[in-house]
Amino acid sequence: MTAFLQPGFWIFVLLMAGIYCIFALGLQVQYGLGGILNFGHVAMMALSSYTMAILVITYGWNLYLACFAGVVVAGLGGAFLGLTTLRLRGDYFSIVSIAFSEIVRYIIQNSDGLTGGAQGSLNIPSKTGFASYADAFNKVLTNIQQAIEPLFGSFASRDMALLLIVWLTAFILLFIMGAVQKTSWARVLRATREDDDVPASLGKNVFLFRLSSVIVGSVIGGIAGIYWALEFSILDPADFQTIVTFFAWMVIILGGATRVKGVPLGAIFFGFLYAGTRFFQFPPFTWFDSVQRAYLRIMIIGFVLIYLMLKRPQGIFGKREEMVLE
Amino acid sequence: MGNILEVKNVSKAFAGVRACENATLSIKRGSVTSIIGPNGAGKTSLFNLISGAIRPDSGSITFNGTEISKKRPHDISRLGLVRTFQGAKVIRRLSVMENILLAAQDNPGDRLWRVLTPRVRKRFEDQAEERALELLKQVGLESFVDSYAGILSGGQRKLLDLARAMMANPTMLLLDEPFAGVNPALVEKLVEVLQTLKAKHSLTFLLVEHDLETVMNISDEVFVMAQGTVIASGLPDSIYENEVVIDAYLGSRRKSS
Repeated sequence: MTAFLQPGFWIFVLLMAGIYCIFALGLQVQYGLGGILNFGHVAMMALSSYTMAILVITYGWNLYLACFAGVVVAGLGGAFLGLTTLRLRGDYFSIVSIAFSEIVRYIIQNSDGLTGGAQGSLNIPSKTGFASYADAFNKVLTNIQQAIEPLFGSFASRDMALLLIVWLTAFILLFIMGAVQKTSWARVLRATREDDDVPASLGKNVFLFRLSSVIVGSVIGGIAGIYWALEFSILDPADFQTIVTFFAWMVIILGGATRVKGVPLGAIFFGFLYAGTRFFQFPPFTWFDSVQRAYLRIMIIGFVLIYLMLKRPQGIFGKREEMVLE
Repeated sequence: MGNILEVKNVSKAFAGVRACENATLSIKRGSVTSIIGPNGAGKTSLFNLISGAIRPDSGSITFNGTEISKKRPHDISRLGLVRTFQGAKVIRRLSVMENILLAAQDNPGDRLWRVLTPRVRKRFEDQAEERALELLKQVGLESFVDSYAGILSGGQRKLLDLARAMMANPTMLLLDEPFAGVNPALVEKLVEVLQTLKAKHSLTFLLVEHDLETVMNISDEVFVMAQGTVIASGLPDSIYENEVVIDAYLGSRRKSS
């Protein structure tokens, strides 16, 4: 119960909400605009974070250059997924995308010499014998922490410093994607959500529009992966299970998939729902032990989603007309 | 005048079933040509072949001197050969205006990096919107600009479909059953719109249609299809007297009357 009262815990919750906001924004571009059901989004996070870690630890790259490379690799991952499978229709693409993310995870888990395998990034081969990638960034965070101390007092923690960077990034991305939604590019994608033949008959290469939305979404997912890696300072293949993709789905369904502004609100709502259910210290929750309660929490989120689907399919902030076909 | 579209010996089979067999026809520039024929004659298949939705097994299709039988639908559309669909497909979850704007050609905003040049995008969109509004006025849908296309009636959808196809700057329009399921007053309206468009933009029209009376009224030439192939062609009047056509399509009722 003590964690419940500590601001540090809630700063962590908000920080994770920020990372999920960025991560889910990548899905929003694909699903909210193009109706693409990507269930393998977590692969982009795995690709960017592991690429960055390997480049820094094994090859001694500059951290920021490695971060950039990581995001590029996530984009390439999206291009590969799209080029090979986007010609499949809706449901088939979803199935293949899950397989894609699981393949990425299994490759990471089983390439000991490259990724550190099941032991995670601590086991990535390093010349110095010390497998850490976040050192350079931690120094920056310490500087920020000192700089914001007069403002935030005892709240000025490492997490607080990262929280500011993550949400700043999130808002920049939200602003850019908000502008993207107003382009005719987005309009064509919104049309393809319903029908391929019409945009094609009007001269639009539907495949290219879809592919570009998957690549853009993957790049954004890759950025989330970088922040994930920087927050935890170690990577574990188990961090990138399919359930993480579905957390992002919860975020955009909660917020309303058709609107960019729903994403941060959905992310915060999800963050508190996910962390907050930890503190259900009253019956009927106390009938279960803490491990069981952890699963219960996922069930509660499931119920909230089902309720929303029935009563507010457009999410909390979405446009009903764009989600529901009468 | 010359021919704008030449279809030569085009065949297509689906799992052994012949949808089109050696279909040959040529369309004169600036004409209104109709294809009639019984259900399952291969009319829509022929449309799909011309518009690139399906590829022929053999034969050639040239549009404005360009071979298009191996091109993809969006490439064919960009050449100026634009089609509409049976039953008028509108994007229900886009507004009427958005539906039309979808057809604006060479929109800089279609390229993602153009998000960085909002002015260029806006200038184009403003001009496109102006043109779209003009087209909507021509078909009488200007009061629905901001409504979702999903709320339009069947007839209004046909009008929107037509206006949208016009927005794509076609030189030739393929209309798949434009008058099907439309009340007589609206048929008149559609015919009027077609004729205005034809006069104004010197367009060529190719129609698939069952409404014989309208077909005979507006067509310069009629092709009759049956079992995947063109069995007759000619001026509307001559079609009525063609024995082959009477047997295959018009039926004996016409013969006796």
